[in-house]
Amino acid sequence: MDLQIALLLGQDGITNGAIYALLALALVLVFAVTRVIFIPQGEFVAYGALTLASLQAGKLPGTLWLLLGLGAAVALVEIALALRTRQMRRIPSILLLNCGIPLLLGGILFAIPPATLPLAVQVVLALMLVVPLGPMVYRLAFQPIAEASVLVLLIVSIAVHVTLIGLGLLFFGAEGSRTPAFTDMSFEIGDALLQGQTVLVVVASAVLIVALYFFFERTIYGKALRATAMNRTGARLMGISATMAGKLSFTLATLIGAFSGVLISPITTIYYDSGFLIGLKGFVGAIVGGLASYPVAAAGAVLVGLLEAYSSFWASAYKEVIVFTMIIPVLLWRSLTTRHVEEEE
Amino acid sequence: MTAMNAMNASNESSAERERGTRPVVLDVRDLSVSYGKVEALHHIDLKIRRGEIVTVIGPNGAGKTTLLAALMGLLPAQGEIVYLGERQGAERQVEQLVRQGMTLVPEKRELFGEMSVEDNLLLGAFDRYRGGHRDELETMDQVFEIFPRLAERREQLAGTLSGGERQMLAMGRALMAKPKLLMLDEPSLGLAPLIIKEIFRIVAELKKTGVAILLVEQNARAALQVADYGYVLETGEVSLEGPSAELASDPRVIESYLGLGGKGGAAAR
Amino acid sequence: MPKPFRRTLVAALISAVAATAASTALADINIGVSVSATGPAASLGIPEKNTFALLPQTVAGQKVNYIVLDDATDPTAATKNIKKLISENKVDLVVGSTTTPNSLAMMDVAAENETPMISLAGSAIVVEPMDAKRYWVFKTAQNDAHMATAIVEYMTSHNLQSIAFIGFADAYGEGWYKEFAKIAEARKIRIVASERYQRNDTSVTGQILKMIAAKPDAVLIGAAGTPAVLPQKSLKEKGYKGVIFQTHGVANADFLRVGGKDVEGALLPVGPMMVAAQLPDSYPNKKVALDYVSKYETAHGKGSVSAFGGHAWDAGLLINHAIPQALKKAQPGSKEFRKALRDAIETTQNLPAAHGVFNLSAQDHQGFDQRARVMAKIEGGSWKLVK
Ligand SMILES: Nc1ncnc2c1ncn2[C@@H]1O[C@H](COP(=O)(O)OP(=O)(O)OP(=O)(O)O)[C@@H](O)[C@H]1O
Ligand SMILES: [Mg+2]
Repeated sequence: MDLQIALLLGQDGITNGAIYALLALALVLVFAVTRVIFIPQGEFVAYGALTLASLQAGKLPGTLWLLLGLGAAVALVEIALALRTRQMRRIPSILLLNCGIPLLLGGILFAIPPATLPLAVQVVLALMLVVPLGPMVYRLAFQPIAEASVLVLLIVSIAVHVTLIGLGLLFFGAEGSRTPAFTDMSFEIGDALLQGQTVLVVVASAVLIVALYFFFERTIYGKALRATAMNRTGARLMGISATMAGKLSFTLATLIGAFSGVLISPITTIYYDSGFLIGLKGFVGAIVGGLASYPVAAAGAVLVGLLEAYSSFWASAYKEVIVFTMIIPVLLWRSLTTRHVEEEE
Repeated sequence: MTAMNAMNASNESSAERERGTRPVVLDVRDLSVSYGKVEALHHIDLKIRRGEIVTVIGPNGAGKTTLLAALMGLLPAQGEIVYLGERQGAERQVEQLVRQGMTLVPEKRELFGEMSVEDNLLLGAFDRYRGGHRDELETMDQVFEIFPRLAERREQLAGTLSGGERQMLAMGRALMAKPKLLMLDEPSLGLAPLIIKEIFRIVAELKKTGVAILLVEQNARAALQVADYGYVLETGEVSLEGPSAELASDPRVIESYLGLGGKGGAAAR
Repeated sequence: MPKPFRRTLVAALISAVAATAASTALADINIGVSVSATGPAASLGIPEKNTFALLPQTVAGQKVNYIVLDDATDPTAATKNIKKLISENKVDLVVGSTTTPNSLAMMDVAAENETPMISLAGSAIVVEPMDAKRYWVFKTAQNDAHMATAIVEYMTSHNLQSIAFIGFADAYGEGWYKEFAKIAEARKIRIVASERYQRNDTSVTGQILKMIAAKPDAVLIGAAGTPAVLPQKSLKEKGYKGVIFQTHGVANADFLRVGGKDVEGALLPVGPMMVAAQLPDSYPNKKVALDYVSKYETAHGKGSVSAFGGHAWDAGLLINHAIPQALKKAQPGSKEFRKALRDAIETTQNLPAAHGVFNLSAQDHQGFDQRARVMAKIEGGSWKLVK
């Protein structure tokens, strides 16, 4: 292995690691706020990529039907609740939010052939189709059992994952898709090419991570999410409802997931079930961070990306094994070095 | 000490006069709370008016914290709770009560340990911010005026504060919500006498702003000194109630809660 | 005359009502089909399923029913399907399934019930080595070896001496590697790198860099379907200028759709059907292949045809060819008829089909020769015959 190969592998590892880092951050966020291990995260990666691909192919993405269906289900649940607690005033806004906006989106897609729109608009449309699914899933699957144990939440999370994968197959078929690169620029480094798209992935991930940092450190909503993660009761007493925090964290996680999908779909072929493995690697990163520390999780995820790149060079047949067994020494090391601090006065 | 007593005495007498006329903030009737099958509170009646300090004293395990948790909507309760003239439904939510100006400074403080003092305070105003108010910085300045110690430590992480400072922060955070009803669960818990004195002085000050204060305490002497009215809670039941001066001179209270030192306090009246 | 009385009666009644030639009225021929129309192999199974609807309904004056079931790319479901087809539908022959694992699962049931079976799967192990079970099993898709020799031949004729291999880390990739390595070794072609990747991998940069470092004259990508795009795309990105071979596992429209510009120039062995229109008129199966392509594309739109539907069509051709001979020996619905069908298929000679020319024997239940593949190149988003 000469220096150039080492550099190229490093570049590849960092590109993938950047995506894993985004996903790891989302996983840490969701876990800290809701205690849900968010396995379906990967599905939103695939949904984001494949929805964009459908739009570009001039097809109506199946996620629209899911959005309409989930929206209607959420509306039904919320209206039943509003009727029971006699808060009729809420009904119009419930309907508008959960049914009106998805219908409007569907109407737009029917009226304007999305394939003719500029890429940026397509990306926004794809995100608008996928991102609301996150809070809707939270409302239907997790909010009713928000106080349940981590294990129960995990089981529900797996159920949601399996359901979404099945729906993905139904919506997008077994074959994969790729979207055209956002940019055709490329740079010469030595005799190898550095694709503009890979640079874009790293830059966009970095920007998103910085944006997240500002959101958590500088805005009151970001602080509210952190507060919920630190002290649920304390946060509730400030009027930060666990439901709001849950929905917000799911929205962010889904946004991160779908956006990651949009970012990598020009680099690689995405299948309805591709997301799981990508999410799993983000998860390894998150585990390295102990599901608690954002910077350590992000670093762990980049490490996973690098390890993957180098092991695919040295021993491609054992790449996955190497990546996933990395979790064992890390867990061992963590369990030996960190003491578990109980939240008790 | 004498100055404080004097201030107290004058407040008390005016409170006596006004008690019947001020609007009722919280009216609790026949409140019972259970943990599973075990009933921890039995048929409690309780009333707080605007600008009034009401104290609930009682021994360990009497159900004081349980009472506050139920009032705050953290625990389901049976009975009737009328807050600001509105009867509370069965599905009362903490968030909704916070919106209506009810705040609790819990026994465990429940601070956000890995955040700065400033951020903790800011989050106290979260609900107001969400409701469209943008006065959190002015409110914070007011809180810093009340607790200058917090102003010195605005950048410090809440988790590294001393016990007294934590209590101040918890109270300051609650004040950030500009509450109509402030509920304090044992603000003196684990604090040195000097700090306790300071905290109670501030509680008495707060009363002047018109906020209704429900003060749960084991430190009966200090509590009865600042309060207008008091309840004695024992094994989940109200065993005694009355204006604090009367309670402070009640032999049963002196016997159980004020001890020998309490006589001095009672004799001062 | 037919032996079971009831059937004679029914046949007689039908013939009387329908006023057809009463003397030859027999029961319908029932063909059971299990394909993977859903699940991971759906893009292969769907054109197969579509093809059965295009096959003739009557053969030699005899009605042929195709009963098509979906096994969702699941071997357990495939086994259930074949059991149901045999016990409930009393089929005379079974076609299926799309994938090798499913076909292997069905094989046991077929042999046990002495029912001939025609698999549409790719791997040679479905019909090799010949044994009591495989006695009942045939296969219409080319063996990997047919395809591998085409690549090796191309390499020797173009003076390409070294090759790097990258394939799926599964049976498909391993199978291709073994077949190819065997033939390549015999022809003195050096395999300078052998890498693996997963269908779901998002990056193969490491493998590609290692391959490029070995400076091969050519690269072979032993992968199927759209996941085969990624290595070729990475090779291009990293500046590889040599020849790139794909396998026939990529010969469908999805591969071209996903691959786009990045797969231009790839060479691959395909069944002649994929480039039927470009074949010289003298090519033995050109007419049959064109016939199928036009039938399929009339029903499903231009450019919709794929190699996999062709395997189903070829199964139909084998069956239709065997029926008249079998009818002479026994009547449909009987054990004897099933055996007669099997025997007739096994002796098929010089039958032009969509993918090649069948010459089956007791030892060879596949029956294609080197006419069953040609080299094609991806050019302008379609398959071009390499002459
Ligand atoms: N979560 C719970 N589950 C079951 N029992 C509880 C729970 N919390 C409190 N209790 C019981 O209810 C009773 C009242 O407890 P509570 O905490 O209200 O007492 P307290 O008056 O606040 O006491 P202290 O002065 O020690 O804080 C006690 O007997 C306690 O053991
Ligand atoms: Mg208590």
